[in-house]
Amino acid sequence: MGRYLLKKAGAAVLTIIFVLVLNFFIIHIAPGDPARILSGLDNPSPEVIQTLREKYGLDKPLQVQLVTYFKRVIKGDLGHSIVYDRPVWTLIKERLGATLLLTFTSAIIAFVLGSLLGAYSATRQGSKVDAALSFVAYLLYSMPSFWLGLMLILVFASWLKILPTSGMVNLRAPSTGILHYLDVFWHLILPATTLSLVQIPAYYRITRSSVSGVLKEDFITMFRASGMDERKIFRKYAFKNAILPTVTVFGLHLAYVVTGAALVEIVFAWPGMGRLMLGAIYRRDYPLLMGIYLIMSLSVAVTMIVVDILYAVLDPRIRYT
Amino acid sequence: MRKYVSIFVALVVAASMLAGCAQNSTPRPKEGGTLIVSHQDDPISFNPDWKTDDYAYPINQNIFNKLVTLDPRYNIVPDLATKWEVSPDGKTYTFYLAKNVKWHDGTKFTSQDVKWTFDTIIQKKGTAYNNLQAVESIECPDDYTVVFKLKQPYSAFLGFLAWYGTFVMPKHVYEGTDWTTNPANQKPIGTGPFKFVEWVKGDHVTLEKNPDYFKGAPHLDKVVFRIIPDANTALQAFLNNEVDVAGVRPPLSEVGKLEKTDGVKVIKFAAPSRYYIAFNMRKAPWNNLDVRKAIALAVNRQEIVDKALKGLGQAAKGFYTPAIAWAYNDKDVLPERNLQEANRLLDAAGLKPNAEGIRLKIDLPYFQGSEWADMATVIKANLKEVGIDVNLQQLEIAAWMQKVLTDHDFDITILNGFQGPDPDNLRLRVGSNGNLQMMGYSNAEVDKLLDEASQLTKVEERAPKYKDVQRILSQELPIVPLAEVTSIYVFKSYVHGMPVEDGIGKVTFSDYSLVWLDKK
Amino acid sequence: MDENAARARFTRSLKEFWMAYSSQKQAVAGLLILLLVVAVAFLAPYISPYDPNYLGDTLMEAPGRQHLLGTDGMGRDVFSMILHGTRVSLLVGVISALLSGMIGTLVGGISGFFGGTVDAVISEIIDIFLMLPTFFLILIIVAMFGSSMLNVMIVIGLTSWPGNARLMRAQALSLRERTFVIGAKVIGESRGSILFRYIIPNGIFPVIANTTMQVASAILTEAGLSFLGLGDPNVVSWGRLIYDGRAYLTSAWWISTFAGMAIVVTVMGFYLIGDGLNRVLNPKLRDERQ
Repeated sequence: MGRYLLKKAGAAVLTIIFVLVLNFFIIHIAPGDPARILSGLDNPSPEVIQTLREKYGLDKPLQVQLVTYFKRVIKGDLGHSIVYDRPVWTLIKERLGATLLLTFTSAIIAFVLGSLLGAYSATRQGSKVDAALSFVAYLLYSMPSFWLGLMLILVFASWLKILPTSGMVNLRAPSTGILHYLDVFWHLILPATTLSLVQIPAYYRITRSSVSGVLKEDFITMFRASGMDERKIFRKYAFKNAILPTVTVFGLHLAYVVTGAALVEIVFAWPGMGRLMLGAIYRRDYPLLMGIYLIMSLSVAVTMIVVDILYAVLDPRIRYT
Repeated sequence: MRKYVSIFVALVVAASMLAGCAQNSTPRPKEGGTLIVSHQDDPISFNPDWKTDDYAYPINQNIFNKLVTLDPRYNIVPDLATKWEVSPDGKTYTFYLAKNVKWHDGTKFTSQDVKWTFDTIIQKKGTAYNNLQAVESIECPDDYTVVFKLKQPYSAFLGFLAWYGTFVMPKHVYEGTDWTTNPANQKPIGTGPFKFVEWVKGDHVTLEKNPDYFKGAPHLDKVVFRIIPDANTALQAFLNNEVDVAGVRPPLSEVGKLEKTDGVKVIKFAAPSRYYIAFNMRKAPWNNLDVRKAIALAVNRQEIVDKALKGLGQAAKGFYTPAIAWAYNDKDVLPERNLQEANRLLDAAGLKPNAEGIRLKIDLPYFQGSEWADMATVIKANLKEVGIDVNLQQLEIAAWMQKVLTDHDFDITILNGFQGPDPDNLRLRVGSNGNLQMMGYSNAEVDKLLDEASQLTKVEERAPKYKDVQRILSQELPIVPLAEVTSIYVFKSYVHGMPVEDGIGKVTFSDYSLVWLDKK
Repeated sequence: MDENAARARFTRSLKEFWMAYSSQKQAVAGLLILLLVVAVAFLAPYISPYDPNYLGDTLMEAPGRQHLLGTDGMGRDVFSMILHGTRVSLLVGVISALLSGMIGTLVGGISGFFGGTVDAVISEIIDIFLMLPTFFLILIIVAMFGSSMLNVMIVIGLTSWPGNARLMRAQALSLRERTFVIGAKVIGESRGSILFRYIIPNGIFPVIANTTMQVASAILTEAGLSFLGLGDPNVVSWGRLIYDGRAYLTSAWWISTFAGMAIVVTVMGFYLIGDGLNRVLNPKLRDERQ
């Protein structure tokens, strides 16, 4: 197990380096000059642009910039944002909370609801409920998240006026303590619903198929033959075995939490990482973009390893050598 | 950038229309309350003079002051300087400062702050650097007087001081530090009507009343700028009463409906900003006047106003904004639409249509945003009628700048821009060395006229020179003006004392010191 | 191998396949949707009441007799735009999925069939690509290099192949132990020829099913890009309609809404077919009737 993990970690480091180099080159080769953008459209002067370029080392050759960057990253320094002139890590930290809140909440809701409904459907295959659930799952699976978000705003905020359109807190009546958390929760409802709805089908489908697979396994048939209570079979044996693939999907979703919600964040003006990243693209903030990519790749790699371990714990049949 | 431009819109024209509004039956202002303004995106920082930052500008107007500023109708009005004098030779500007001004941390404001601010902008090449190149020295004869000495007369100087990147910053906070990383960039200290409270990144910026404001304490307790990047979501939030003032301009298509909505006030006026086509005259066929003329004849400017701008704007006629009336030449104007003549000119230029009726395939890069996309779509449809196939290239602003301004890799492009505060602005758009002159256009006579005009002090003497420039432009057509921009302000009708209504001659575009709320 | 016998076997398995496929109601529904969408794509110019690029004079007209689904903010007929948009969505979806399928098949096939060091290296590369945050990679490239339809298709194709490669590799790994492959080796057929004549044709089915699903996700990706303003402005696409319509959402809800529905239906069609294929081709899932 130890060696296996070591190997995995090595692969993860390789991946991260690859991702960073790839992005470094894509970003720097692309047209667009941050100094030019910062100097403004209406009245830029060559001197201002040159000053900005020198200040951020953009006048150096590409490979020099790359080496400098890696040296700093190894020391744990993600560099300074060109646009904000603040440490990249600070900028990311400020947005991480909102994104994690939104994505974790929706991933957990989707995980729980999706697997429960999936398991339910599996035990009632062919029934009307099963058919209806499957249809809804397909429908949601095919829906662009941003479109669903727009429709939900239209219905619940604009027409019914029961939920706020956007943002994270009610700025008219700022609150503290428990009321503040309630306020955030209130604002979280629509974006989290949107994100969970589009994620539910993934859990639903995988649970449904794995549960129905397990239910056909020989040992279940044996238990049945021995007259064991159907519900007990399900609770004690089928569900536990069927949940494994679902965990993988959960891991995959979590791996992309950092930016996965960008489109939804934009629709709901949710102050998260995805928006920070879009802004960084538009303003050509190279260090910030690289920093976000690093964090993202790191979280993907770590989650993958955690999922592997979890798998081993949950399923004693898997042995790593 | 569009935002930047639209903030600076001015309204010299509508003066007479609005003049009477302020006085009639103004009720007594109510004190207190929180004003919520929708806001497009996070500021870069609260150093107001360092970088071009459209997302900080409206907020900074409430935290900082300038020497002189521009009111919503584009008049130069006093700010920290209560009055000023210009020497007869036009080379010395003397500003007399208000005496009861304190920084938000309690320190006294003096002329040294002003000197430090402008010295630093020039030395560190802040945003306004380009407009301050005429400055030779800045002197402080006493705590309340500042004297700017110029190398040569520069009639646009005062206008540029009132414009962008010229907020006076606290010397005692910044002196001896790196102004790009000073902690005050996160927690600004100004002299303005509101003090900074907090900035929750990506969500909101909160300001509170400055009871010691030198022009009198504001009525509101708080102003909150709520960040909503999506224009449609911002509109929904406004309609849903989550926002009082639409700081994010609603989509143009919704303005008509908003005007008919109860409890919503919409104020519109012509701005000294305009949309235009720029040709890449470095390459064929755009180096041929006849081809440029054909485009001018083929584009339907009224259709652009009707469909792309949803009727909010005016089809362009001349070659400078009519909003700055004294410099506008109404004689040398664009030709009327004439497809037959356009076709004839294109034929004459040797651009014969092929079997599918296509004479030419061209690239039109433009930057993101629905009005730009719509405008480009209309132009594409118009030019198709004369056999020109337009390939639209939608780019985000950074890529557009690179492609058009730096690499000159385009056929025609569209842009808009603020034409003030002074017609000297023409220099950067059509002057040979203008920073926004992407056409590759160079006319010695235009350059000479612009130079001469900028060094004259009297409007009567300057006007003929600018009108001459417009005449030359109308003959040579390096650009084709399309439409005049309309400024649009949208807010709830319980919001009183908005700069655009009651602030004319007093405060700048987004200064909320006079605002008060009339609701329970 | 006897040609006739082979053909007979092929026809038989095709028949079996169709029996299995057509016994699934949902898969048949998916196929019907696909047929409809393809028909619309081909017939768009003939069945559209208006030229989708024609700028009419009635802006934002509600759905009615004159304009079935109303007009947009520029006076274009929304129904005609949606019909023409079918072509773009299909084209983007199919081409990028095909590209991804081809790259994946080739890479996975080589990896699994050749084995050894080649396999080890390629597997590592596949793993790395699987970990790439794809949507943001696509976003960066399109934002920075321009949003022509060609760019969008290529980028989607180039970033989505690893899934296919993994499937093909697994197939190749098992196929290369089969007698007909070993037989071919013994006869002295070249490795390239074996790869293309035996491995890929016999192992491609899971990739086909997966590619069908990828058409769906490519359509969604294109819509997402358009929503961020990064669609190709020279063509009418559904994503672009949603993006443009967003500005009119309060006063002309029909623009975004109907375009979104078109996406949902089409994407669902591809998912249904993909699932159906998977169930037929993957024996483990075959008994499971959905």
